[in-house]
Amino acid sequence: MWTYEKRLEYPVNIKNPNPAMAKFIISQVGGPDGELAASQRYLSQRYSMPYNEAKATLTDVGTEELAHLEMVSAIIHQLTKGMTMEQIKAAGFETYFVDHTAGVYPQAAAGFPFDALSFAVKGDAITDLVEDMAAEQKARTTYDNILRMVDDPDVIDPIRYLREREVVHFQRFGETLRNVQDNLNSTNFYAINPSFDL
Amino acid sequence: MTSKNDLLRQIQQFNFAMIELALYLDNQPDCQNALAMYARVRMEYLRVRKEYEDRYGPLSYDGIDTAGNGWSWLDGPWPWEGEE
Repeated sequence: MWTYEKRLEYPVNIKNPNPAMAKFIISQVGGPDGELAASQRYLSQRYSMPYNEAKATLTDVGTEELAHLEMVSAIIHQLTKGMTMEQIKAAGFETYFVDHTAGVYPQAAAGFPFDALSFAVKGDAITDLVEDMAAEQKARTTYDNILRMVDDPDVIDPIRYLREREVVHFQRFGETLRNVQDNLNSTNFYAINPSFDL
Repeated sequence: MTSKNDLLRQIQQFNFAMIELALYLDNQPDCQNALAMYARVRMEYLRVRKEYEDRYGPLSYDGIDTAGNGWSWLDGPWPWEGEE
């Protein structure tokens, strides 16, 4: 069961509209390594996790990803609120604007809409946790790429926070994977699928 | 003593009433009847929720009592595994 808290996990207060930045930051809303994919990846994978530590970690990180989805969506909202037609045209934002105006739609920077194919649920704890570690690194790289391209301190600050959370989640998933492996045959982790055969 | 599942059922009932009233009040925020009902149900909900968490463990981070029970957040069964 979920409930909503009427606050952001970390503040987002952007003073100047800038559709040029919104155009690529939106990938962290609905792109392949974005926060929507992250939340649905972990919250879907947790059902087949065999140990309480893994069930808790996927539940808790998946829930935090929903808070990050809200933060990135707030960044897009504030970057597009009050933008002028001149800014829209100068940024090449017309292709988004024509379909979504200044709404927040989950899509990748290249324009394709959110796709559940950007994540997996294999139903094997090791396979899924290894994917999760890769996913955190991919999101970290995406935030690094965003940080190369933004110059507004109001945007840099929450993006840096989100980048740091990817690093922490990677660390925690590494511990979760180790915990799962500690429960298995140390000479052959792959003798069984711990999500199915135990 | 109320059993774990009975208390859980009360939480679900009071919270569902809150959800239903909240959806109604989102569009009818001045309805005095609904406002009074929400206040009543909220008190009941907070009461049974506290009783449940004190007795059977946390429902959310807010309910975790590390001094008494350590990191009880891990304890199963998890909600998707069915009730005991």
